[in-house]
Order: sequence, then structure tokens, then C-alpha cells
Amino acid sequence: MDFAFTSEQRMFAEQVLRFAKNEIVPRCAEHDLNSRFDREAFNRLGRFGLLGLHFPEELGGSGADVVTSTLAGYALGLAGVDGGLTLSYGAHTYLCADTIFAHGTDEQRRKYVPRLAAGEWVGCMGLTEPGAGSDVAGLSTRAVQQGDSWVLNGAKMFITNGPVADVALVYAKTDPQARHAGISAFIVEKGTPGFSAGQPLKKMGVRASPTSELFFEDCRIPLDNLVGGEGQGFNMAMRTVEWDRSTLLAPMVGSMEYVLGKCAAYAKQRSQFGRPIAQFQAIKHKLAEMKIFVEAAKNLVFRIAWCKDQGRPLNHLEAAVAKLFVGDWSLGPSNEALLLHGGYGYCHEYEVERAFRDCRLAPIGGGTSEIQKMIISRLL
Amino acid sequence: MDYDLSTEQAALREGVRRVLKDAPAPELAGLDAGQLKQALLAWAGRLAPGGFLQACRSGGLPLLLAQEALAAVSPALLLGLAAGPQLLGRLLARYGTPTQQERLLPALEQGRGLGAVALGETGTSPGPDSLQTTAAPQGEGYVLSGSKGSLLGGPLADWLAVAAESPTGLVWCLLPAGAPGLRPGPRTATLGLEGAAFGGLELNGCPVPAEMVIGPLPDRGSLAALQSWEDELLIAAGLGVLARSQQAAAAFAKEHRSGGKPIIAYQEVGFKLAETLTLQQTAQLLAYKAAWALESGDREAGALLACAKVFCCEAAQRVAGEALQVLGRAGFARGNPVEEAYRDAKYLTIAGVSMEISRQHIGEAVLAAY
Ligand SMILES: Cc1cc2nc3c(=O)[nH]c(=O)nc-3n(C[C@H](O)[C@H](O)[C@H](O)COP(=O)(O)OP(=O)(O)OC[C@H]3O[C@@H](n4cnc5c(N)ncnc54)[C@H](O)[C@@H]3O)c2cc1C
Repeated sequence: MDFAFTSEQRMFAEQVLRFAKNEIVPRCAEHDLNSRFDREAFNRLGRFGLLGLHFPEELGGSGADVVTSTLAGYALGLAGVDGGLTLSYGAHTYLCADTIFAHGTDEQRRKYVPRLAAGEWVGCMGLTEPGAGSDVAGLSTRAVQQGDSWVLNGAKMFITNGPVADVALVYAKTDPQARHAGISAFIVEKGTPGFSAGQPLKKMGVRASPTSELFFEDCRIPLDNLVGGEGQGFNMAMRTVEWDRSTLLAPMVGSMEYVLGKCAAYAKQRSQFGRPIAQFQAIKHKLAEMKIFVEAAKNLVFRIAWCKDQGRPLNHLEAAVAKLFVGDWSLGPSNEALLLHGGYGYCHEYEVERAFRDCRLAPIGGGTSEIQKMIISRLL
Repeated sequence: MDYDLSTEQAALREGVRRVLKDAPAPELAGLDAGQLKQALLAWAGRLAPGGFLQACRSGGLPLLLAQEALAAVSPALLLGLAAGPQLLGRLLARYGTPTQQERLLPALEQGRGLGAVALGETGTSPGPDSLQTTAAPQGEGYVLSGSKGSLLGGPLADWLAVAAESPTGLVWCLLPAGAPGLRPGPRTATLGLEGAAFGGLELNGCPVPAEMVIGPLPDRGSLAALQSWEDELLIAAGLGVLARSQQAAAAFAKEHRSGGKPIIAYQEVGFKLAETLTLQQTAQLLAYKAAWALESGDREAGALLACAKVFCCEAAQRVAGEALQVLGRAGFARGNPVEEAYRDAKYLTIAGVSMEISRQHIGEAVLAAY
């Protein structure tokens, strides 16, 4: 057992941190408050190489390992990038682009992965539906083969990047009688007749990440747009879980460490009763709660990443433990961070307020805490 | 980065597991002091050849793993066996003279004698306050007067290190059991860890020859060091309590049936066990990381140890409580691992650096870092 990162990994994390602080963070507050996707920041992530870090060089990536990719996400959070942009980056890179990379044909890879990795195109992944959230196998979007096309009908709900996506990776039923085994994945490009996205949903947090419904009305796509085999969709969606529990959770944990730093600085600078509030035991207690969370969560998230680097099959128990811990146990510390700032913490101007809103997504998105408990209790 | 244990890291634990396979852990609660001492020495004798007691002096991840394995069977057995080599042993190794080390360490590490450290007193908090126990110079040595509050392993110890204030600074006096003027108090009846034997000390003009004195020390660093060594031990005990509780509750929930199915199939029970398993795994990794950080001289090691202490010991308390809830009536009856774990866990949040002080230390470390 060895918890140290390599010196290359540490150096790269430093670079990401510096880049994000200079190029991204100054733009975050405004986009969050106006619930606007920051396409320019997204492009910058692409130019820096973060949207395709783990893809091979010939597909526009730099062949990074999973730990390094997770560390990059962590560094974005640590720099102070908002949870909206990091969610958009995560869904784009790991839920959409990586699925095409991992399961697509050579042709599909060559067509989509380099453009997604460069940030030229924005990707999204559509699994959840208005009537099927936790019960993934209950989804009802249909894909029927007609001549040389697949015809899609149905709707998706809560799709990250939905309103801005150029490429959607969509899960639909090819065999409505089967549950999991009846699900297949398809690529649908923006502008395809019969495909549209709803208005961005007005959300509590992760506001700079646009979320919407997707609609399919007799949406006709080429047969070649099937990704992976027919009926393979559920397994493919499950493969994204490893990314979800490592690279997508990492920015949230990094962001909590960022908040911890903000809190420490504020506690030293804010005086009440004639002394900095940092001197009160109750304030140190709050800092301790945040620190304990960060240290505990970090190990769980990097464990998933490291195991994936070793080529091990996903350990569902460990993945669910990581998700459950980050989801449920982040609420307390993020609340402490807000309270430490008193009335200022209640105002948009202070980033702790944003972090408090953003981290509310952690126990919901990518499988709720209850679903994680269901997985763990079944595996016990 | 590597989340697997290397063979070397796991070796000490494997040794402990082999011993545990050959001889089931003893039932310590209910034994009188004589029987308890005999049982502990017998176990010390079994574990010494594999290097377990000696490793208590050096610490590190291999030791934590081995201690966790022992505590998963009996936290009291771990505390009873390790307190001597880990607390007294490390004190001697860091601050003692070669003569003192030669005299005491072999017995402690070969399992021939038990040791304890007497620091805490009723009415003062060691650290900020000065101790009420005094060491008055007499000839080349000192005379000890005062009393010590209930301490781990006190009633069974063959050797004790007693902290006292001398006119020129803090001293640690090494006393054999039965030294003139040293009177052990009665064994304290405790909520849990009955097999660990707690008791106080009275020191009435107890002479200590110069060669048995550590110090006077220029500062009070040995007090903080001692508490952090104790925390390492308590973290291991916490992991043991977690493992014990989780294992027993999961086994019960799979076997006990209600409405035609095992109770684990109900979300109220199954989800509880999912939460407790999450706490257990999270605590483990945090504790392993802290041990690794101490071993590798990481600059955050102190803060990490405090984080692990708070998280592991509070998790132990919570998980034992939830496990007891799952066992229901069966758990409430005296004499099962879960009610024992529930009572044992409380000690872990109190002893060493308390939860409250630990959080203050973590907060201060954060303030210093930013
Ligand atoms: C901001 C945001 C971004 C998202 N991005 C995407 C995306 O890009 N792509 C995508 O496909 N999806 C996305 N989602 C959807 C997300 O994954 C779902 O919201 C989530 O899986 C829960 O589904 P649901 O909202 O339908 O809740 P439901 O499944 O209806 O759950 C409602 C409640 O019931 C509980 N529950 C459900 N089933 C059980 C059970 N068996 N036992 C106990 N409790 C149960 C749940 O835990 C929850 O508390 C996003 C959601 C949000 C909010």
C-alpha cells in the first residue's frame, strides 16, 4: 500500500491547478449566477487537453492513466472551478466520449472522439427518462430498425449538456420485452430531424451546467449509429460507473478542499468579540469536520481510479461505498462551511454558498444514495 | 500509488492470524487480576515469536494491520497486550537511557512482563496543566508523591512509568510493581473493556533511584508523543470494533428471518448495514493512510492521525450502536460481541487525545496550512 502520487502526477496536477486558477476560475461566478454554460471555458479545457486526457494520442488525447485523470478533476475542484463546469466536463468526457471510445467501431471513434476531445463538439449522455430514473431498466425510449435506419421515439430527462450538445449518446430499448438485456446505445447528432432538446432546467446548483430534456419523435439515424452490440447498452452504461465514481466525484472532493482553504482564510480575517473567529473552538471544529471529510473521501475516490488502472473489473461494492460516502457525508461539511461565513455565507457572493448548492447533487446524480445502499446491501 | 498490501506489509498480520487460528481468543471479562495477567502473558508468549510485541515499539502500517486483526477478535486483548510495548516501550526507546532500555525492553517485547504508563490524574489535564504528582530530589534520585487516575493495564503491570513534576522539569520514573511507597488502587469497574484492567495508583514517598529516572526533560513533548502513540493503538482498536460489529450484524441479518425472508432483505436493515460498511471501509482507508504517512514522514502525518482518530473511533461507536439495533433483543442480552463492542467503543472516543481536543488539533493544523 502506497498513497503517494508519482512526481509526474503531482507536477501535472500543479499545472492543471495553475491553468484553472488563471484561465477558468475568474469566469465561474458569473456563469453560475446567470445559469449560463461557459462555452469559452469549455474550449479552454479542450485546448489544455483535459477533455481527452486518457484517450490515445492518435484520437486527440494524451494517453493518461485513470489516476492522473482523476487527479486532474480533483485539481479543477481544488482551484475553485464551479461544480457546473466540472459536471459538464465529466459528463462530456467520461459518459459520452469515453463510451464511444470504449465500445464504438473504429469509424465511430475516428469520427467523434477527436472532436469531442478537442472540445470542438460537446457531448451528452441520455439514460434517465421522465418515468425511469433509478429504475434504469424501466426506460421506455424505443429504437426500431426500419430499412437502413434506426427510428427513435421517446424522451430523456435531466440530461447534462442536453441544450448545448452536438452529439448525444442515447440509451433506448431495442427489445421492449426484455429489461436490462433490451437496452442498446445510439449516437444521435444535433440537427437530426426528430431530435430536439428542451429548455435548460432551472436548478438549485451546478447551474453553469445546462440540463434539459431530450425529445425523439420518429428520429431517424443510420444503422451505423448503434454503439456496441444490440442489447449491450446496460453493460456499457455500467462501465461508465467507474469513471463516475472516480473522475466525476473527484472535482467535488477537490472543491471541498478549496472551500476548506476559503474557510480557514475567512476565519483568520473575520473578527468578532475582539478576536479572529479562528480562535473560537467551534470554528476550529467546523474546519476539522471539513478536513476529515476531504481526507476520507480522497482515499475512496482514488482507490476506484487506481483499481481501474490495474485493469481490474469494477468492484461494485467499493464503487458504491465511494459514491455513498461522498454523496451523503459531504452535506455536513458543506453546511459547516456556509455557517462559518455567517450571513455572508448565505449570499451568492461567497463561493461557499455555491459549493453548498453544488454538492447537493452528489447524493442524487449517477445513482442516488438509496441505490448505492441497495447495491451494498445486496453484496453483503 | 498502490492500494494493495505488499507481502511485507501483510506479514505481521498473517502471523497474528495464524496464532488466532491455533488458539481461539480468550474470554477475558470476568477474570480476576491474577487470572487475567496469566492469560495476557500466555498470549504475549504466543505473539512474541512472530515479532508482534517488538513491532509495537516501531509502529507503521504492518503493525496497524496486525493490531486490527487482533482487535477484531478482542479489543481488550489488544489493549492489554500492546499497551506495555507500545506506550512504555516507545517511551523507553525514545527517551530512556541504554541501561533502562536493556533492563526493561526485552521483558516487554518477549512477552515476559506487562508494562503501563501513568500520566493522567484526577482534576488536571496533562498537557496544559502541570501534574500534581511531584518528584522531590533525594540524593541522586527522587521521591514520588501523588496519585494517578485509572490507567490502562495499571493493576497488572510489572513495570510502570510514572510522570511527575521535578523542580527542574518533567520526569518519568520507572517503577517495578511492589516498589516501596507504590500502592495500586483497586481495579476500576468499567463500562467496557473489562478484560483490559484499569486502576489508579497512590504514590506515598516512593523512592526512585537515579538510574530509573527519565529526565528532567527540557520540554513536555513526551506527553504529546505518548498521547499520539496511544491514539495509534486506539485507532487499531476502533477498526477492530468496526470489524466485529459489522461482521456480527451482517451475519445475524442474513440468518434471522421475518415475514418469510432474512431481515437484511428489508431496506430498514439492509441500508443500515450499507451505511455501516461504508463507515468501516472509509475508516480503514483513512487509518491506513495515517499509518503510511507516519511511516513515510509525511508532513501531514500528525493531522492525518488526528483525522483517523476522530473518524475511526466515532465510526466504531456509531457502527456498534447500529449493529446492536440490528441484533435487537439478542444484541441487548449480555455476552455477545456486539453489546461488548458497543461498550468498548466508548473508551476509544475518550482515551488518548479526546475527540474534542483532536478536532481542535485538526482545526489548528488547517489554520496553519492556509
Ligand atoms: C443536475 C443533474 C444532472 C443529471 N445528468 C444526467 C445525465 O447527464 N444523464 C442521465 O442519464 N441522467 C442524468 N441525471 C439524472 C440522475 O441520474 C437521476 O436524477 C437519478 O438517477 C435519480 O433518478 P430520478 O431523479 O428519476 O429519481 P427516482 O428514481 O424517481 O427516485 C426518487 C427517490 O426514490 C428513491 N428510490 C428510487 N428507487 C428506490 C428503491 N428501489 N429503493 C429505495 N429508494 C428508491 C430515490 O433514491 C430517490 O430518493 C441528472 C440529474 C441531475 C439532477
